[in-house]
Order: sequence, then structure tokens, then C-alpha cells
Amino acid sequence: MWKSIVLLVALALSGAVFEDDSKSDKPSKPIKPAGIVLSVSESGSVVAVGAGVGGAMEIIGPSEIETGSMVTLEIGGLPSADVTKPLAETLAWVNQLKFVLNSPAESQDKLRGNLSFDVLSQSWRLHISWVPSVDGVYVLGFVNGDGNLLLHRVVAGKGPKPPPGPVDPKPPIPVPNGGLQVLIIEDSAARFKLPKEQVGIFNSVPIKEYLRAKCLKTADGTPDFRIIGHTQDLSKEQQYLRDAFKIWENNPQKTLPWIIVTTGTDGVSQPLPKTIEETLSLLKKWGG
Amino acid sequence: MGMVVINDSNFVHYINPLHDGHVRICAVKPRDWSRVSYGSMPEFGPPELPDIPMEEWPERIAEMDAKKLWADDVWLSLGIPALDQDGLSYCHAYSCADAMIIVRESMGLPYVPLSPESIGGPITGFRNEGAWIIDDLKQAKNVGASTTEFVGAYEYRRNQRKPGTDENCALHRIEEVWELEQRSIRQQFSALLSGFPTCDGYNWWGHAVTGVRIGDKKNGMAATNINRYRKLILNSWSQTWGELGRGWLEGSKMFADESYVIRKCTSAVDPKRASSPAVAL
Repeated sequence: MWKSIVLLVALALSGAVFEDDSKSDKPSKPIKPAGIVLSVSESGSVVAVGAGVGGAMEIIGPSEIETGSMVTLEIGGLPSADVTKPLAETLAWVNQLKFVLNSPAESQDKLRGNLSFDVLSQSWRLHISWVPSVDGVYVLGFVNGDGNLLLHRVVAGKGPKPPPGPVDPKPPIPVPNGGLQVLIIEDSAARFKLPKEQVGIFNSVPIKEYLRAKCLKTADGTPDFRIIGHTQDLSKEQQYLRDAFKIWENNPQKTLPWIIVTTGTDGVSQPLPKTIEETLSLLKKWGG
Repeated sequence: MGMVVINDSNFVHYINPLHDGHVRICAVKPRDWSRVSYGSMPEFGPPELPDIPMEEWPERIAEMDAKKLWADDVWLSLGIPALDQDGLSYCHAYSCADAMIIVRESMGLPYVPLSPESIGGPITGFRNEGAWIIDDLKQAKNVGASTTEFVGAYEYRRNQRKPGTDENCALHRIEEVWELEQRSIRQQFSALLSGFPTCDGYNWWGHAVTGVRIGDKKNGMAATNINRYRKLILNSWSQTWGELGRGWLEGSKMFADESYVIRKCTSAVDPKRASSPAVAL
């Protein structure tokens, strides 16, 4: 909630409304919808297309929530506002953002957005929220103006929370499924057309060594990373791979080669970097 | 045994040779291109084949050498001994299994000892005899290769296959494969430069092996002169043949008469192995 005066910008959307979460009594000031569209796919996943630009954006918010409670995530790193320009021009970046909510198959949860303006800091604030209706893993994907997809994972679960007890001296138990998992998708028949620096990624020993050291492992010690073809049958693979592949399939860009990195709570889905060094840098950013 | 270099002057010494006290069998049946023409197997597509300009080869070779990016490097990183067909006439199946092992490692799949006999047995009527490489590849694509847990080394007979072999084979199939044009060294080398191994059949040798690396002899020849290059192959005559089971082919002897590129294998996990607790993104 803003302590400063907030100018609310309510945007009417198809299937969802950007609402004021400041609970202010002041009526919101409607503006022309800035091309933002939210729609619900038949599978229950919510696909939202909204505001945007490139830059160092991030998704901030909880990674666990009780089913039925509202999840509110803040999109950080929005562009600064230029109050000297007309509002429509100032908000032009809104048209470039896209949001994708990957939710449990039976869920029909709808995204809501709240775009507000903080007068004191002269900056925009964007919040995305939804109410998980069923238990499960929800992944919000956010595509910025550069086409890069940032991911934020929220685990929704029912049941009362345990009463507060003594502080456990042991480290907290990681969230279920938490840990580094990596999927690279390629068109292997087109590999020879790639720049030679990028071809090297597929057999790079340093990359494999890093992934072996950092990725989650199955009981037999196999690290959770794969380099697969874009038409491969994953029916006998682990769920994380099928889920990650679905993220690529649902991505409007859908270019190849592509990389998806998840830590269990956050992650990134983007075109495969051009060199071994850039790929290692990306992996280390998320895997430490 | 030091590094083997097979060329136009010494190749006869490597046909059905005696090695480690055993005669090594060269028993691949050459493909009859008039009966099985190029492109007649749609599952071996797509039509666009690898073609990297020869002018780029020296620079690419240097980079792949420096950064250890060859299929050969993937093989060596496994730290397993070269396969040994011993007196079995299954070089066709061993070449296929070697390439599958390399590709699986490149994909991040767990290492499993694939059984060449599980591929070669069914296509030879469970007999110890030569075969066409394409039959091995079709078998590995349509049925798959089991691990040696189900079909052990040299156990090529039907009654030696343990229960559950077919189910295990299904976990290790070829999913994406190319057939290259007849004797197209340019395509064979372009595939190697893309980091793939090649399943190669040599009529002069009557033998099938796995291409894993290109060497730049830096002999002053132009980048577009094929005699500037040579090919490293992974043989199936044990770890003691050549250097760790590998040897160089030079001159006309490096031109495989038929060559196939396994690009992807089945991405699957054995249900008997506990899957990762991390199953959701």
C-alpha cells in the first residue's frame, strides 16, 4: 500500500479488471484501455497480455500461499514516469508487456492487474494478483519488451498453518521441488546453421560440469537438465520437463534454441545465449 | 598400442585384423543404393542436410579442439572403456550403440550401458552375422536398445534376452536421425562440426564405426582441400585398439560410403529409478 498519494489508473480488461488495491475511497480515474488483454485459455491457464518495456524488470512477491487467498506480485523495475508528456504517451510501454499464468489444469483463476502512480516517487507501480482456487503450482510468466520471460512460482496449499512454535534451529525445509532445473530446446536439424560459438553450448564440458554440480538430482544421481529436440516425445519424462516444455510451447515467440531455468521459486525462459560464457553466466545468475 | 592412423598405404593391415589374440570381424553389409535409394526412408529425414562451408572448417576445428566440443570429447568425458565386439559380427550394431551413448550423454540423460546385441540380434534373426547399418538404425528407432542388464555382452540369441527387454528398449530409442548422401564427406564433416557423432560404413573395410572428430593437419593446403583434414573414429575393438579405442582415417579411407547422424534419443526416465523430487516448474 502506498503511503503517498496514489493516482489510480483503472484499466478495464476483458475477463479481468485492474483494480485499486490501495482501498482508497477516491474514485479511480479511468483512462482509455492501453491495449491490455487478459484471456482464459480452454485448458484453464490464464493468458494475459499487458503493459511493457525492456529493462531490468523483476517479479517480487510470495512463493507460497494458502489456497483461496489472494496472491499479489509486484512487477519491479518499471520505467520512470515523465509527467510532462500526455498520459497515453507515457503509458505506451504498457502495450509491450505480456503475462502468462500457468495454473493447475482444472483451475480457472483469473489474473487481475493494478497499475498505479506514486506521486512522490514519480513512478509507476504494477501489481498482478489472482486467487488460487485449487492446490497446486502456479507459475506467472512475464514477458518484457525484450522478449525475455521472467518466471515466478507460487505454491498454493490448503489447510491450517501450524501454530507458532519454538524456532527450529535447523535450516528451513526447501519448498517442494525447489532447486535448479534446466531445459534447453533446440531444432537439432538446424544446429549446423547456428553461429559456431552457440553450437559449442550443446557439448560444452564446463556447462555440463556446472549443471551436474548445481542441478537437483534424481535418486540415481542424474542432474535435472536436458537438451532436447523441439518435437521430442516427453511422455515418459519427468513432470518438470513437461511443464518447462509447455512454457516454451505457450511462448508467443517460440524461437529456437531456447533455455528455461528454474530455481523452484523463480526462473527465466529466453532464447539460448549466443556463447558458452554467456550461458554459464545466465546459469550462475540463477543457480549460484 | 599407440594412436592408429589408417591411410591409403596401410589400410589392408586393418581388415579383419588379429588384435589382442582375437580376429576382429568386419561384417557390415554395404548399402545397395540402387535398391535403397537416398531419401527413400522418410523417417531418416529431414531433407535439409548439414552443410558448413569448408572455408570455416579450420577456425571451427580450432575452437572445438580448444574448448573440447567434439562428440569425441563427450565420449571421453564418460570415462568408460571403448566397446569390444570381440569375435561377434556386430560392428553395425556397435556403431549405432556407441553413437546413441554419446548423444544421450550430450542430452544430459543418465549413462546406461546400452547393449549392441539388443539391436543387432533381432535384425540378424538372432544370428552372429553382418547386417546393414540402416537396419540397426531402424531397429533402434522403432524398438530401441536395452541395457546390458537385459541383453548382456555377446548374448545375441533370442533365448538370452531377459524378460522386460522390450520395455527397457522403449526407454532408449533414436528419435531424430539423418541419412547423409552417399560418400558426402562434406556432410559427414558438417555433422561432426555440429557436435554430432556419425554412424559410418566403409566398403573398403567392410566395417562400421563411429565418427567423432575431425583433425586439421595444417599441412599448408587450402581450407577447401579435403586432404587437409582427417577423421577420428571410435572403433569397437576394445580399449586397447589405437588410443583408447580410437584411430584416425586419412585420404580416401576417411570417406564413409554411408553415414548416418543420430541427433536425439528418447528423453525418458526408467520408472524403476526413483524420479526427482523436483517434478514441477
